[in-house]
This record gives sequence, structure tokens and C-alpha cells, in this order.
Amino acid sequence: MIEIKKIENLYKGNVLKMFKIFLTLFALLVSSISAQTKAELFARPGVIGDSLSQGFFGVNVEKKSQEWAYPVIVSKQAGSSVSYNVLKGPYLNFEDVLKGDCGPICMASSLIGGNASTVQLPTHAGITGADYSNVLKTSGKCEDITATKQVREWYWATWYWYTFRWVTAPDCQSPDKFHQYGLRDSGTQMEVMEKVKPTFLFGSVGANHVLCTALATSTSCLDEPRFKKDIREVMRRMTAIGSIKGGILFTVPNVTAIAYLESYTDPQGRANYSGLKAFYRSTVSNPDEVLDKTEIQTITTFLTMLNNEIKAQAAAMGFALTDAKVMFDDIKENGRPVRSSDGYSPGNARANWPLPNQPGIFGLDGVHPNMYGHAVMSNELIKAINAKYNTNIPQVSEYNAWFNDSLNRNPVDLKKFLTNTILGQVISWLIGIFA
Amino acid sequence: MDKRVVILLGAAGAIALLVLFFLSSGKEKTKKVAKTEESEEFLNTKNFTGYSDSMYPDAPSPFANAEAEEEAKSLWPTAIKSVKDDAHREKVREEWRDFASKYPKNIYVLNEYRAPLTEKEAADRRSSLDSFTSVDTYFFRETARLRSAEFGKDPAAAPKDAGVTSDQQRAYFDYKIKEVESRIELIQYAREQKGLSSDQDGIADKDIAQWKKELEDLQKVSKTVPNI
Repeated sequence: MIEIKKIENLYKGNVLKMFKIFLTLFALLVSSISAQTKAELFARPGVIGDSLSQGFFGVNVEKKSQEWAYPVIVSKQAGSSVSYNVLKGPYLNFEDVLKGDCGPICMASSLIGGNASTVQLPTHAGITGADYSNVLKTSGKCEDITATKQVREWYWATWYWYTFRWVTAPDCQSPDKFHQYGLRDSGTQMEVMEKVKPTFLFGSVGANHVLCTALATSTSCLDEPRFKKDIREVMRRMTAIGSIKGGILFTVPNVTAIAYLESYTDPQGRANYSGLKAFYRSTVSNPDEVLDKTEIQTITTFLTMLNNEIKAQAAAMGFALTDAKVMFDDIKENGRPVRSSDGYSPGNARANWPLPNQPGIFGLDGVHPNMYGHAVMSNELIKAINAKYNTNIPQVSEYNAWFNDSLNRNPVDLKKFLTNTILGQVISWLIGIFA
Repeated sequence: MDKRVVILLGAAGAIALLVLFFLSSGKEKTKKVAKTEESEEFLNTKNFTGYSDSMYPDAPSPFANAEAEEEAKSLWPTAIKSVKDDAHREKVREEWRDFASKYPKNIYVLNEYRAPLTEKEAADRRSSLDSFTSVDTYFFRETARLRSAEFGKDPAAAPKDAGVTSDQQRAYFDYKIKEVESRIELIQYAREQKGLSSDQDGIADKDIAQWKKELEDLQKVSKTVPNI
């Protein structure tokens, strides 16, 4: 009897063991299916984008800032990679200049710019200053590939009469240096994607349709029909490629809440002289130098329209969506906790450039994220991708990003440099790109 | 052995094979990425503890943890490698002193390489910055508007109201002229010091030719600003 019981127990134990092994293997299988989804999705990631994707950082594009831009980080975290032409400017890394890391020779070099290295066909085609219209029209060679002009074409009208007729010919004007060095001879951002045939698309290029209002303190650059027509055309052509299995879009943060702008109240109480002014301005002598209440409302309405369209496009394409507006509003309101694994915190990061003992997500232009800010952005994208596609892309350690971010670790208070004569040109350069 | 056990073992074996297949194909991809990163040399991360002049002395180095160190090396290799030391900064200071002595009026020279500003000079600088950026933004706004004008249609004639005072406009042109001159000086200096790469020399030639034309236009138009 005892023998039988022993055998029964042994048998039960074996079955239990087998069941445990089966469960473990099943769990492994589920996770490997998820890994497979991730591998399939990120077999060939492609990027269209703007300064945020290219890694523009106060006020320059260079290897180190391109590396920390969100598409590069998210792709690496997903076990994949993107390829791109590496820039060495333009224009200049203001942090390095103000900290004494970049002298006149380094400054001259980045002012001229160029390529540190190139690829035949980039899979990351995001370019500083671009919007959805540029994605369709601007190549590395022509500002607008659809632009035409009338030129004389000479021909023999008869055997004795040589004359001309007007014909339409391409009007190829040189684009800015970001497009020249970023795209070179690979076509427009859209054409690059049509050649790359990506499996996953980073497709956000909406910010510059509205950012111009903050930098130019004006609403005259808002153009709803152009934005809607061009984002829809971009997504239509993306769908036609046929290779895209997934992607991500993000909404545009409230551009009137960026660090570039600060509140201003006219001492004489004039409503059109009060509102938001650029941070470097000490006085306001003209209503054009502020965004007043009415203008802020116009921008808010436009932004809502723009973000609704982005959300609709993400849904239609089956893409993940990060509500960057909500994320940014939260950081503006509550800050972003920065904490090491053992509990140390330098404080919550704010929606500003870092200040002494005050971490921040922006670079010195008050418009673009710093290295830490890009890690935060990347994590928000990773969360949305994981939720949408049931993948397990690991997040980046934000503490690690903060710890290695030179601007956060050794902040520069830009307001102490406002009497330097270089500043006028730095601001002019910035406005010229984004306004 | 019981039939059920055999079936279970068979199923588990098949799953294990599948898992091994997926894991190995996943590994290959990760390796590829890791390989490119590993090929880059890290000069100063071995005992990297952060920034020597850090204002966060208590911040624990994430590099105590090997995984975090790997993460940093993989994600931000150039940023980590480009942390500069005091010797580099001293060399940069020397460069600035030399440049400032040759081009004392160059607008790119930082205040720390010039005589200290008086309070009045500092206030004037702030006021110039206000005035310049105001006019500059106005022109960017207007050109952006003109750029989106209907194709083939001529732009409107210059409005009767200038929108800026002649003093403001003169100051604007003065700064623009100084800036373009300063940019050309910077490039010339870098060339003298053999600081440009060969590919940049060609770009610099084209840029300087374009900037000289721009300078000529600015000088010409600035002379037409009336004295009112």
C-alpha cells in the first residue's frame, strides 16, 4: 500500500514538475511572440521629422545631439537602429561656447557646418525646420521640388526661322543647410521613405506648423488648409508604400508654454502690450513683440485642431499615439521626478532650461529638449508603443540621462549672458529657422 | 511512461525549440547593434564619476551598476566622450585671447575677453538687443507672409508707413553688417590656424562669397536710411 502511494506521489510530483515547465515555457513563448512582434515592427524603422527628431540643440545639429534624439534612442531600445547623415553644424553649440569648451576655431567650423559622415540612403530623414509641407517638397538639393518657372526654349519653327517658346521648367533653389547636409541627394523626406520602405514609422512633423507663432510672436504663419492637406497627403503616400506595420505620432505641446516665452504685464496696463514676450526681451515697445490674450486663444484653437488631426491620422494608420501635449502640461504643472535607483533625487525637472539645483528638460534656446529631455520624450513614446503593440521595449533610465547630461549637471544661466553681442545673432538664427 | 506525460513532454519540447529559435534570431539583431557601439573607443568612461565641478556632489554615479554604464555607452557615446577637461578649456581661452586681440570688435567675442562693461554700457547692450530682435522678427514675419503669397502674383508695393523708425533701422543694419563681417573674420581666422577640414574649405569659399554679396547689399541699403 505504502509502495503504491509512493509511486502515486512520484507520479503526481512529475506531472506537477512537467506542468511548471510547461507554464514557464508558455510564458517564454508569449514573451518571445512579443519579441517577435518587436523584431518585425522594428526590422526597418524609418523616420520623417523636424528639429526634434534630428536632435537640434541650442542652436546646432551635431553628432552628439543627433545620437540623443528620440528616434535614435527608441530604435536602439527596441533592438534596432536608424541610419542618418551626421552633421557638424550649422550653427553653433551655445552651451559649449558659453562654458568655454568651444573657441573661435570650433565656432567657425560649426558655423560653416558639413557632414561628419554620410550614408547612401538614410532611414532617418528628419530635418530641422521641416513641417509636413517640407516632407513632400524639400529635398537636399531643391527647396521646393514642385516649383516651376517659365524659360525660353529655342527651336526651329521652320527651316528658315529660329525662335523660342515659353516652357515650364523646374525651379530648383538651394535649400537650407539642414536639408542639404541631412538629405544630400536622397530626395525629399517622403521620397526617402518610399525608397527605404520602413516597417515602423516615426511620423511626427507637426510642431513647425504652429511653433512659428511663439518665435515670431505672431499668428500670421498659421495655415490650417496647408497643414491638413499636407499631413493627409503624407499619410496617404505612407500607406501606399505597403511595408509599414506600425508607427507612432505625437501631439504638439502647448507652444505658448515653452521656456522661450514668459509672462509680461505692461506697466501702463495696455492689453495689447501685455501677454507673452520672448525671454531675452527687457521691454515691450510694440504690440507685435507680445502674444496678447486674443492671439494666445487663436493659437490654442489652432493647436487643438492640429492635435485632433494628428490623433485622427494615428487612429486611421493604426499607429501608437503619445499625447505630448498632456505630458508637457504635466511637466509644466508638476515637474518630472528625477530619481536614482537608490532614491537620490536632484529635484523634479521643470519645463525650462536647467538652472543651478533645478533640473530642466530644455536646451538653452528654450524651445528644444536637452539630452535628458529627449530621454523623457523617448520613454513616453516607448510606453505608447508597448501599449499599442503589446511589445516590451525597455525604458531608458531617466536618472542615467540626467546624470550624463552636461547642461543639467553644469547649468548655464542664459540670462547672465544677455549683454554679449553674440546673442542677437543667435536669436536671429533661431527665429530664421522656425518662424 | 504515461501517454499524457509523453504528449506533455513532446509539446514542451516543441515549444522549447520554438523559443530557442526566436531567442536566437532576436539575439542576432541585438548583437549587430551592440557591435557597432562597441567598435567606438571610450576614452574617459572607465572611472567616469561625473563632472568634477558638479553642483550635485551627492549624486550617485549610475556607473556603479554595469548595466547602467552599458546603457550610457550605448545611448549617448559621443556626449560622454565629449566631456572636456581643464587643459582643453585653457587652450580655448588662449585661442579666444588671440582672436580677441586680432579682432577686438568682432561680435562673437564673449564679454569675458573684453574690458568689463559699465552699468550704462550693459543697459545699452540690452536695449540694442531689444531693438535688433524687434526689427529682425518683424522682417522674418513679413518675409514668411510674402513666401506664402499666391504664385505668379506680384507682392504689394512698400507701405507708406515704414513700421520702424530710421534710428532703429540704422541700428539694425549696423548690427547685421558687424555680424556678417564678424562671421567672415571667424572663418578667416580658422583658416589661418588650419582649423577647417578639407571638405569645409570648399563650403567656406562658397559661404564667404555669398556673405560678401550680402554685406555689399547691406552697406548699400544702410546708406539710404534717411536722417529723420
